[in-house]
Amino acid sequence: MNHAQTTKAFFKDPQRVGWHDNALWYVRSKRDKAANQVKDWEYLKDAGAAIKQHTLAHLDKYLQNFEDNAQQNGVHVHWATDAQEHNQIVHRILAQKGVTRIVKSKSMLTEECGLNPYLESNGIEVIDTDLGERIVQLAKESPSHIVMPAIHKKKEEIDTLFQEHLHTAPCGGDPLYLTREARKHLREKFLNAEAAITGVNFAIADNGAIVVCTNEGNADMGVQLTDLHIACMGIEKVIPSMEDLGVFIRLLARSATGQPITTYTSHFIRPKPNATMHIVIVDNGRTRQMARSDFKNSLHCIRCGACMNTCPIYRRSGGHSYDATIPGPIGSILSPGIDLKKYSSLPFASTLCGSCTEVCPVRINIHDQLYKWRQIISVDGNFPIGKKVSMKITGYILARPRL
Amino acid sequence: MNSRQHIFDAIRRAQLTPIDHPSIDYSKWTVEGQSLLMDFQSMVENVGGLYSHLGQISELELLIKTHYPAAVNIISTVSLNNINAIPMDPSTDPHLLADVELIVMEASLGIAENGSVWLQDPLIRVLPFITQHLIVVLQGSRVVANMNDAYSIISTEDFGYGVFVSGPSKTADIEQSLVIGAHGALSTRIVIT
Repeated sequence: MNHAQTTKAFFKDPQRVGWHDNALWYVRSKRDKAANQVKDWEYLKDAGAAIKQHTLAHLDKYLQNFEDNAQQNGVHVHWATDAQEHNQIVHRILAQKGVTRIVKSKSMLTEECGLNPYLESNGIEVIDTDLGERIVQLAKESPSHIVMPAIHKKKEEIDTLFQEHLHTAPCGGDPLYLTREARKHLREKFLNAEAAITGVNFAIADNGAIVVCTNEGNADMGVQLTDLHIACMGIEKVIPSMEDLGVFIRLLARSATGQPITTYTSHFIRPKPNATMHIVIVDNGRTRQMARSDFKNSLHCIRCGACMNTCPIYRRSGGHSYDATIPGPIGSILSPGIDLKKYSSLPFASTLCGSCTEVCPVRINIHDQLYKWRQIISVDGNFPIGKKVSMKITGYILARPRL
Repeated sequence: MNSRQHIFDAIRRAQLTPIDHPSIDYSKWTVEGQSLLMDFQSMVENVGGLYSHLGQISELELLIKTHYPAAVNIISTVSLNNINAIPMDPSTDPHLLADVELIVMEASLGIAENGSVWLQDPLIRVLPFITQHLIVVLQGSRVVANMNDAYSIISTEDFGYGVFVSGPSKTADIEQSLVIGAHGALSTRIVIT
């Protein structure tokens, strides 16, 4: 992929670019307001960064503790080295119980692993229950943002989509009507589901808890109405203790949407009576990123999306232009670690203005890492095509001082 | 080699430099002269919640009759004398609760910085989500300043499930327009006693 090319579709409609830019800047402004209301916000970020740095340096110990405690709580723990193994494990758990209908709450990991198409090809109905995710699922698209999956969609498009799939009345894109219709449609899915899959925002080594944050209540509507809960997480989601969790819960929603906390912050420790709970812990390239000293702290990311909302490139090019599960600045330092050749243009999709680094709640030096990837890419000769030409011209001019 | 071992080996091969857990000065976040209850109330309203302050718990029934006159299917963990609440049994199939209109339950903590309340091991876990309207009763003396304070209390307790609830369920997934009432409760009222 080449970012300069993939943005072209989005650029076709200049009005939409401006609208998208404004929508995200609005979220960024809300984040500033929320952060300013917390006394010593910068110290909170310091604490978050230091806890993550410590945890990553002792990840084996904390994962071991987490596994021990989760198992003691009666939870089944599974390990997957890659996406394929993750999908197979989830499918095996579902198949053993003969499950054919599942509801899913937001999980970027399962997006990364391509879980939905895998399960669907095995005859299982997968319903995404976060409203934004349901919208993109019905539109057969992927999320364009990790917190606001349908931020690229206009309300009139959603109106049309719901008329087609949920048989709603035309409403001129009335968000209240459309949300209420989605509530009805998804309530029925919740009540008929046989299993629930969730992501994990934080996993607590100390007591084996997993913590899931939602505004809509969809994770709990799924989990609490079914007897089988499968939670999928990357290895970097573990943190030492509940005390540490306090720091991250204070950082997450303020950075993400400018809320002081999400509506629901659910702590799943033991399964409910007569129910089964599984946790699938996935590597899928994370240990490779961990071994790269310049890039390892990209694993501190708590997936708030603040770097996307503030990025002048993301706001004007849309999440789909990154052609990856995690778009935006953080995605542009993660994706080259997964496939350097494919994603060699992404570290150049930045002005290096440093705004991403500034808003990051766990102090990831995102713009420094973008610059470091550029150096690796230029040494390896993996320049994106457009860049190669412009660099040649620059070289030509620099070599001829009289020009 | 199994996957678990494979992952642990890869982590150990990365050989990150050991670094101590930070010693965090929690007092940095203490706001001098803060009125916890006033801040809590303003945050509850800020997150779209409703707020009532009762002189005594016996006024709860009047509050229910006044604000939820149409509610018939009511479940309450607080005993009510003149309102016909559905008796609750932990073994009830949660699917049978789909038509519950109002649930009254108690919280053990409230958080001033974000207007949330802590519900620990509800009798049936789906209760605060599946209901159309939620009332949470909280003692005013149980409001703490922030999440750090909350977790220092919660981390000493033994529970299987717990949730912070801050306001009614909501979404802004359609063009960033805030809509109250997504999948969970359409309204959440905090009742301080």
